[in-house]
Amino acid sequence: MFQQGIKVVTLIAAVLSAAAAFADCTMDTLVNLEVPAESELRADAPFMDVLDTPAVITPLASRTPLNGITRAGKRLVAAGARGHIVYSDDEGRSWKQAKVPVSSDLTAVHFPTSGKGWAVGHDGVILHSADGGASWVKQFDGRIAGQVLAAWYRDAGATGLGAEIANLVKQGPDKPFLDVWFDDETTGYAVGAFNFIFRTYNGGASWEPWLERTENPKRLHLYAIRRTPDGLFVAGEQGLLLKFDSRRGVFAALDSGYNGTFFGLTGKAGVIVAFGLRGNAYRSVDGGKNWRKVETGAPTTLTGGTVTRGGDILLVTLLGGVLASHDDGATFGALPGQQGIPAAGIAETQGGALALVGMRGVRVQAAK
Amino acid sequence: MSAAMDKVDQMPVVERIEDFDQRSGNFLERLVFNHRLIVVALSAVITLMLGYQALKLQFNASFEKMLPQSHPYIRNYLENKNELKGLGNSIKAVVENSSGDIYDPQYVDALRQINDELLLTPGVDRAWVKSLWAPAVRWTEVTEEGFVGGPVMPDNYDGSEKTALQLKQHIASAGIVGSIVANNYRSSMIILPLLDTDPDTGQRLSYGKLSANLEKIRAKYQKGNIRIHYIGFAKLVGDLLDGLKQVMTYFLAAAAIAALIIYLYTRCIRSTLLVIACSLIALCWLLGIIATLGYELDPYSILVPFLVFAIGVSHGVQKMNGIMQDVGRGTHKLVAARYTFRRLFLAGLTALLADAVGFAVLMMIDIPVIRDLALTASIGVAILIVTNLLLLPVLLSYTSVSPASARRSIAEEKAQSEGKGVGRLWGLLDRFTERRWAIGVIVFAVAITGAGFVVGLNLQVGDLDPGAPELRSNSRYNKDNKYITENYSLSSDQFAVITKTPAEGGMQYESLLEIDRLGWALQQVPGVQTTVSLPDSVRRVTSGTYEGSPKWLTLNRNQDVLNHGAHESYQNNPDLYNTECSVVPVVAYLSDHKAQTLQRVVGATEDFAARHNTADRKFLLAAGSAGIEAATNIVVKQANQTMMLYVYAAVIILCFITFRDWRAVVVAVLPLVGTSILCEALMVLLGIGVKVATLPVIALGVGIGVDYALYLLSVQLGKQKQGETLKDAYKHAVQFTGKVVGLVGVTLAAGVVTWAFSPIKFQADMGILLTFMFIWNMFGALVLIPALSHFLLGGVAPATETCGSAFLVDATAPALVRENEMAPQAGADGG
Repeated sequence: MFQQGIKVVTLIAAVLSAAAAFADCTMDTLVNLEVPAESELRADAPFMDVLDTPAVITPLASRTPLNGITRAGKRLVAAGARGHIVYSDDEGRSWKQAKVPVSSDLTAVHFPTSGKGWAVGHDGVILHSADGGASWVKQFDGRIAGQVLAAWYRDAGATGLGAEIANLVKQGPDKPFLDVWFDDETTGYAVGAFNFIFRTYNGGASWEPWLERTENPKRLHLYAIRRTPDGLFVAGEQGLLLKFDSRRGVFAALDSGYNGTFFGLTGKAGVIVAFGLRGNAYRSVDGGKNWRKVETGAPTTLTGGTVTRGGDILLVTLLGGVLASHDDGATFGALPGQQGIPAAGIAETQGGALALVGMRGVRVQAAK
Repeated sequence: MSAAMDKVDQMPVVERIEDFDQRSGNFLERLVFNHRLIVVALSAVITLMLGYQALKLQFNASFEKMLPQSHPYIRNYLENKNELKGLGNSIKAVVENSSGDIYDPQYVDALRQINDELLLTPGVDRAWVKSLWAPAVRWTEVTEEGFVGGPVMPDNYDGSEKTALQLKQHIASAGIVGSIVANNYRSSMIILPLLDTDPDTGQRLSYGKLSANLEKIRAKYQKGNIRIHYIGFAKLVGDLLDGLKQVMTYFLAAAAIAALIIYLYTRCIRSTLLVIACSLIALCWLLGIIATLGYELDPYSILVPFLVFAIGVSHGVQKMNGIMQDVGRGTHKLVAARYTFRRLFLAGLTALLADAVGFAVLMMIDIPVIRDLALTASIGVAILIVTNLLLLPVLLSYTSVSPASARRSIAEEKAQSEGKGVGRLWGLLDRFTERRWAIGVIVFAVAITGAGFVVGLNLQVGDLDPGAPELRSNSRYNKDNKYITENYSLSSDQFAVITKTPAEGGMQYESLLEIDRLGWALQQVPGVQTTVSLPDSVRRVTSGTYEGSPKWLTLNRNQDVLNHGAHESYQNNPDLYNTECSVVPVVAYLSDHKAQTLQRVVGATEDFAARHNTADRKFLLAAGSAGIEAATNIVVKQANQTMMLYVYAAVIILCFITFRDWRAVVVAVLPLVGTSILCEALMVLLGIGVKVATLPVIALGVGIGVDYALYLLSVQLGKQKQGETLKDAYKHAVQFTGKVVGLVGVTLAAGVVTWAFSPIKFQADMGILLTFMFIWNMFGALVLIPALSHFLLGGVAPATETCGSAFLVDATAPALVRENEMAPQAGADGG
């Protein structure tokens, strides 16, 4: 009996050890199959520059950071982070994402006509659409800017800018454009950090640097460019305000009386409003000669503005609030609406509602 | 005809010890029973020594031991663990005003007191604590002159309307809504990063103590409108440890149930106490050995004592039964004990080894807690061989059993064999060998198993409930967790991808951009709510540097801008990368931790890594609770299949060794398969996914479940080979072993059923599933074996040679066959 017992024990032990050994090796194989060993991974994937990487098409595009919004005819077009450009033909209820050849962060978009528009952004990128914003091509970027700058100022023989230009070229495509404005389908301007400014007279086929045409000795950032019936204005850092002097062919400095940064400009015939840091807004009713501070009542930075077809001037705050003026910018009052989500820009929809863009994409609210 | 029968012949009733041949029996029996005092003394000494050791036993709820150690994801995690300190090792305390908002002066005051007290809790890294009262939590604003700011809590806060308004403004400009302040402004959070070591003692921080301290503070301040919620890894471990201790007390209940079962079975207090005592001695040894070997009790291995105890009791009762029979017939107690030993030692050994099969298969799972469970359970089973197969008979030889119970046992025996009383019920079982009943029961079994199979197709992998899956969804911890995830912006299911670069590499433009792209790729995956990583923060800092302009929320190509952004980010949140910026986590916050969600995230990450990894920059999976769970799911899913395969292979081989007949193997194994399928269906119905905790259930359920078939079939086949019809053979098998099968099922179930009440969710799941498997296997064996036998074993012919059957009968259950039934046949056969 005892011997038989031992037989059972030995047999079971043998079975178990065999099973365990088999199990061990099978487990290893299975685990290895699941995850390729490092050596099996593809060799170094080349790093793809954002300028060479198309924007990812994603349903999140209208819900993630957008910086600029404008109207292209009846259509709303907004541009923002990672090369996202979205457009809506139904008052902002639904959004389609445009095909964009870069994934740079975009800062602004402008359509002088319903069909043709331009968007600008980081890495010196300028994009163009000829189909109302549905698809875009790259016209310009920071790499081209380097070549253009080097060639232009050599050819132009401009003096005093040599060292500065050499430096700009060396630093590479790290300068962003922060705003874009087109007077029509052919003539437009892109402005950006460190006094970056380029102009085209051929719809963006070529861009010429206008760096020496600004009265901006400190090379302050240029945050906004707008034309009102009173002229073509630029706003920037440390209270910088410029107005194009067509006689001299330069953007001449204006005295705003303010030392904080202006992030935006808006206006209509007879009135221009520059706005920026900590709720500061300044108004000129004489074509930019004299500026007066406007009490906006908002303690937070003003990031965007527009003028409605009804003539109201609207400003948005960094916290997502909307301020409205019915008296050409003399006084502002807060519109009711959701706050707390940082906003960067505003546009009036075809139907008269307000479309705000910001950290969480686009949001439409009633104008009243 | 066989050794068994011979043995029966050799066990005559011996009333006086002087008439007994002390030299009879095998070597082991002589060794043990001729030196009884030494055996008892030795056991006493061992018990004292190991009992003393057992007192040193530590509890531990180390999560690392629950991880599949050799999975590449886990290796990546463990290799980089020290660089990922920020990932979760903090306590989040949320103080809620249940009838107002956070600007209520009373609330602010209570918050200050709670904040101060939590700050002083040992183990808290005071310098990095964040709360409304922490000076490090600041508001900043860009002005024309530059940055201005200060602590969010105004220096002169006095509860007045003026300072309350200041607080309100500071909170708005600090951007802490959703992190420090709840989205609904009714609560605020105190974030307490933890140190690795207790600065007072210099030892590793005890999560148990920390958790107890937190509870003290909760008890002290939670009154009126003030509610306190805690979450955090350390708190979870603390709660698990508490659960562990609570489960330990369930042992008393399990022991009481076991004692009751034994008493009902034997009606003898003396022997009941003896069986319990021997099983407790086994536990004492087991715990002593565990402590001596340096193991700790964790939420898994705590279950081993329950199992070992239950198995010990079921074997003890069999011994008791044997002795009772002998004593009842008048045999001297020492002789009865020796007879019992002779009859049952080998049978017990085989059954225990069969149990060991179940445990041993678990060893192949690459998860330390499961290996520890398998090891400690194997040790426990080995100890049972000594305590319940050797020591128990020796002790019985001194104490004997109560004479009344012994007589009762004989009477009951007789009644059963004559088909009276309870025996009638058992008698019904042999009906299942008839064609009509057999077809009926098989059709029923196939139908229910088929339905089970269909339901089981929906079996999920991983944990399905929200919150911490280790605890019940209605536990304090998970309620707190629910409150916090509902009111703050980030979920508690974090899936972290580890970005590895050379030193300082993490803040290089290309790295930041690639990390940002990974974050963006993950955000596209359904189930990912948001991602957090260094580039997000660098974007924000860059925007802040440019006076808060949203147009500067970017990763600028200028490395100086990026370096500044990275350094500033580190100041605000040191979890974003390690000190040398070579390890940068990308944390995806998930909506849940269901297996499909995890699978999608894993797939997206693997895909991204394959396309973006370079020699100097690798994206490694995985860390964070969800990352680890993803790896565990992968391993568990594979292990579940291989486990099934091996446990069934082992059981089939075991059955084949025992029966030497493939048809018998089919009869024994099919009911187990049915139970396994139904167990999966039950898991679906109860919302239990395949996880670490269900692996042992499968192994134990099948490994121990086969015992029933071993008992029943061995006798049935033995009888058939002696020429009995199937019906008679099964009838005899039920008579001899039916009660034992029932008893084993009930005692095992009693041992595990108490877990169902455990506050630890996976223990409860294990308890429910094991109870089901033990009981259902028991019924399956009693009902399906005869029915299947009708079709498969109806024609088993009387044996022509004895070798196989002798082995078979001797090895397993024959010992359960007692001489009063066997004698006539044995006499005819052997004589």
